[in-house]
Amino acid sequence: MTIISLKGVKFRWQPGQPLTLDIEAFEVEGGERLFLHGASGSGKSTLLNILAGVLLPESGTVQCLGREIDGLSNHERDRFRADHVGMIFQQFNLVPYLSVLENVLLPCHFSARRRDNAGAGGSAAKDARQLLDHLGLAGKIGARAVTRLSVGQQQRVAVARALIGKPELIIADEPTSALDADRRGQFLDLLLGQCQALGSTLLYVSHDLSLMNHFSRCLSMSELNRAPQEEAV
Amino acid sequence: MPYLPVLAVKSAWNRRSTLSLILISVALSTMLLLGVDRARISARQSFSQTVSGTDLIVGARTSAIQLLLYSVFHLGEATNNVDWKSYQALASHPDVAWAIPISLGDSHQGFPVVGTTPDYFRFFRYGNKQPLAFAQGRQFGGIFEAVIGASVAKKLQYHLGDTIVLSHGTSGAGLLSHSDKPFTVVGILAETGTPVDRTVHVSLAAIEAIHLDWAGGAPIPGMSIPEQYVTKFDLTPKTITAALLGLKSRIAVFRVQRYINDFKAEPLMAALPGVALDQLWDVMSIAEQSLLFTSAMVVAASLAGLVAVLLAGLGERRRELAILRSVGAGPWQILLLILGESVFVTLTACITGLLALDVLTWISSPWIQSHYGLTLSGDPVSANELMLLAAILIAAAIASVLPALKAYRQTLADGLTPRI
Amino acid sequence: MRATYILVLLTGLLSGRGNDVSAADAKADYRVGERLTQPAPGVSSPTSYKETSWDMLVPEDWNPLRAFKGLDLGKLKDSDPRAIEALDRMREMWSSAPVQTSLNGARIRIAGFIIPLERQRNEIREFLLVPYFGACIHVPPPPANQIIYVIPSKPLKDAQTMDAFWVSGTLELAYADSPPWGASGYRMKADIVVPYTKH
Repeated sequence: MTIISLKGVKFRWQPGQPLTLDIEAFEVEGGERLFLHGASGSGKSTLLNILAGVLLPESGTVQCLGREIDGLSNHERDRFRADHVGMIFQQFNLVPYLSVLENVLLPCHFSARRRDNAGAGGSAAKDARQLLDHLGLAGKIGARAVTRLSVGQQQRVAVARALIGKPELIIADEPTSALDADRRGQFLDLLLGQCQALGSTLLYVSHDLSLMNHFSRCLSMSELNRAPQEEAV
Repeated sequence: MPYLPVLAVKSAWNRRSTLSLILISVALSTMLLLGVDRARISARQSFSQTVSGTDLIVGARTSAIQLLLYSVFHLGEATNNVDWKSYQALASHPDVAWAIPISLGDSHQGFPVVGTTPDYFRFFRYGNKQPLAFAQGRQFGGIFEAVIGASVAKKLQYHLGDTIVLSHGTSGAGLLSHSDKPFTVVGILAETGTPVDRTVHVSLAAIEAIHLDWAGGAPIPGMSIPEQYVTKFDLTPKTITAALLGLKSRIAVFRVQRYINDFKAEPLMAALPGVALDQLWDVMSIAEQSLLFTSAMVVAASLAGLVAVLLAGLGERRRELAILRSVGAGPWQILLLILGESVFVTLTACITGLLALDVLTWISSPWIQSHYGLTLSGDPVSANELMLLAAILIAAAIASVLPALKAYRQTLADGLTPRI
Repeated sequence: MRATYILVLLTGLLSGRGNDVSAADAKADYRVGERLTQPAPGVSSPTSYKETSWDMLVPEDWNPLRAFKGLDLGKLKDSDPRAIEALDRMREMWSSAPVQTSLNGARIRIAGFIIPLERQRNEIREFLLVPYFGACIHVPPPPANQIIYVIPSKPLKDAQTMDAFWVSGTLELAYADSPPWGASGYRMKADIVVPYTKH
């Protein structure tokens, strides 16, 4: 089924300013692994915020999992995001005052659906530990403070958090940029493997073209977004 | 979301090194506000315990508050004295059941000395019509015998049979002393929680005796009457400072009061203790209000500091708040999170301040009792103090709306991708 | 500045809490000598207490102004001894005012101003009830048959001199235990003491 469908979406930050986003059509099917190439200033941050339901376009429709999320109230969009979307950021992905395990379980406190999914096999904590295990973070790491992890470990914890409770859509915003070049491939394999295993759709945004070949479909923001793009220096 | 309070607590704990200074500030200001209130209420309760069953206090014409203060609390000085003959006339009035004369002017190591008759131990009541009781010994009989209150005995470590020397004047300097006529402690009173505890009681004759060879407030040079000869002189008092009266019928109080106020032989006044106390409260309430207002301003200042710290910290938390947004928190929940942290810090500070105050109260109680005759309440917290604490928490919550709103607007603008 | 506004709000919030004695500000501003308005005596009240006015505490045949009967003050010279003597006689009657013996044991409800006698912490355990404001402070005190010595069944909290109350209870005559014998005034064990309102 179509996971994401955007039609005629236009967005500008301030009235009177030129459009940041102007997308005629954008569709993502369930189970796809989409690589979205976008340089800074291409409007990708704005697009991610709209897909996650944080921002509303000034015109057009945003459909996600068959629901028109631009018609929902603020509170309903937040709930939707909690239930169906997992996000991974470029860096500083973890809440510093929670342990590794608490970070992974964070979405379960905001979504009953994900909490129930995670707890289906016993307890949510057990599911979390399993995820961490699959990502190569086994053992006592669960109780460790996040500030004591390496960047690579932090990113993998972020993946676990994005995946817990089986959200249908995973959005990753440049998650490998902060990693060493030789670790990037390894990380990507882990991420893709887990998404496959759980049946989630992955939308991967990055400006690193060398990773393109891991993905079934590639798209560039300049193709997608008709609005004039800022030149990044 | 029930997880928000947990997040708030963990978040505040994570930043404890920055927040602990602010916590101390709020705790100290809480301690100040609660302390002022506690002292105020304790003072009132303590004062109203001091005299019971006394219908009228008589003294030279002055204000009722002043009369109450020097005759019952032994604070301040009388402007004039009462002639002994006037006192005798009052004591024999048909409506008067008993009379206790009081003579002030001397002290012992800073404690006031009261010259009186054995009727004092018989008729004086305090608290809820409780009579005085002796912990040890008996009342004075011979001229140079003294009965001391419980705090005097405790502070100066006196026992029965000890010898003490009185000083002239009520200041603690003790420069002019009656060292040629020492007194023996023959009785120690049980603790009352009133100014009686810090008083040294002697007979009226004794007061006359120690001033025999004095004139105008100082010893007459070259003249000294040894103590064994004092009985050769007339030791009837000429004047006293004040008197406490008990009437046969409490309804007669106005009649007797008017008789005393209209007394032709000398200008006297009679005050009802209950009414004089209310007048004292009125005067004190001005001071109380100022103290409370100042303390409230101090609390407000410390809360402003808390708000400033929270505001300053918002800049570095944009990433963290974006993460929370990404897992489904809404801007309202971010606002509540900031509010929750602030309330948590304030609550901890309030409890710390209250406990610190309790410890301070416990430590200083004995000293205050022996210096002022005031008993501080021993309760860890009173209903009034709980309401003050609630007011502080509400004030903190209101003040924290400022940083919480800022966080709200910030997260709306940042979304999931703050520009750090 | 928003911060200043919030600071002022906090201060108001905190200092307004501080004074619990300001409950006595509910004490209306009475003028010296003012009496409380009571409904006409004999009006049936929901309780079993009879509404009583202070006049009913005075026997009908007692009139301290009798000394002045027949004395035309306009015709006397200044400092006439008869005027002074009449005043003295009136004062004497005032101070030996007799009680209305029929009221012994009566259950009454009466409004007046209190004068605290016995205090324990912030509770008043015994007080005198007088008919008009300022008695004993600014104006001459009332005669003995216009004062009631009240012991309430529950102590009064947060009350001050000259606060106004409705007092309901059983009135008794107090007898002197020494010459001159006889009833010297009124006492009451009060069952209900409530702050004064016009009902």
